[in-house]
Amino acid sequence: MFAAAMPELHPAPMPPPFSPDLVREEAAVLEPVVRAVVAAVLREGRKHPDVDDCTNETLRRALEGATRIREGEPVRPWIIGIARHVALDSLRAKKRRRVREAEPAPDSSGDVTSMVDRVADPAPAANEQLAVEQRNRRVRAAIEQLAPVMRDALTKFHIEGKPYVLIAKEMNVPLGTVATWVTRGRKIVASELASGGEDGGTT
Amino acid sequence: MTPNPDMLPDDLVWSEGGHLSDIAIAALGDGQDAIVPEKARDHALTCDSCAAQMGHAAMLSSELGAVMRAPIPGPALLPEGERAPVPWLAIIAALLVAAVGSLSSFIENPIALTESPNAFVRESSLAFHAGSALFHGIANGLGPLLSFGCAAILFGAGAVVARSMPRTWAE
Repeated sequence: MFAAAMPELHPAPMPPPFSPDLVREEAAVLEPVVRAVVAAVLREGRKHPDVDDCTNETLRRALEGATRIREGEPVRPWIIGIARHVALDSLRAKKRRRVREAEPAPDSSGDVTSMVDRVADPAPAANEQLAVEQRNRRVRAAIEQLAPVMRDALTKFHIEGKPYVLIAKEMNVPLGTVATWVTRGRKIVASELASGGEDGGTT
Repeated sequence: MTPNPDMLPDDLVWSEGGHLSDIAIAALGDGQDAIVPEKARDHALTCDSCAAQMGHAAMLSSELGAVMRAPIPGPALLPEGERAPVPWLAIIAALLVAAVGSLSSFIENPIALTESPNAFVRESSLAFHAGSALFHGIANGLGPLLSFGCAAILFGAGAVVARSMPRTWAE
């Protein structure tokens, strides 16, 4: 079903021109958003020391990895993705630390198995990959169910990389209408996901 | 004062309690800072609640964008209960290859072609004897039966796989 329907969603991919300098510029501009993302994931205030640490770590990784970004990949979502991962890693590390502190000290026999069990496997498990794919399918299905104007606005923004102002001109509607369509369209997709029994949020 | 058409109007920017509206938060999360009034942008930098919402909005936006940009996974398998048609073309091609392969023996010995009806009767009789020998062989051990069974299973499995292959596999 999607194979037939989805090509409409990306008729003309328009990746922005790639350059490591662009990443550096974007990283500087994005600092407030990165901080907001980290604060949202950590559920802390924007001035919390952990938020500071994660924000700095995100920007450091973005700058160091500027040459690794795939050509044509939009920079902003890439950096936001790093921020999210850094914040989630920080949460997990905190959780592991709490568990370790709560556990009794390991005996001196050097139980290799239990030590191995404690090492985190960075690769996503097969069930996680399947869950992601299933979720992506549901997102696509939810997008397909949107009103055509909302879908068009989201397509123009996410696929064609156009700003709201240009979308408004192309669709011949006021700017506020485009902003409303984009916001409502995303909310509908998010609530569809949430109602499906899975985490519809982004944290 | 004429409202700026390239800027979100105030009634869409602010919500109750002096916080930013969902629309302004989504616009900031999307990096559309230029269409959000400066006062609202400053508010997003100082209000923890609005900043957290902006963080969520940015993540939702980037996740949705990633899904929309991602290539669509390969074609789905056939719906349950539907099976691919018998691969007649492949069967005919295989028979043709076999016929071409046996041509050389007929060219070397053309009499065999004319004698083939008699030979068929003879071979059938031989096959019958072989079958009965196989049956009796059960008493002497399962070795020959096992070989025969494996061959039959392989043949059957090949047929089942060929029939259950998705029709759209190569599309």
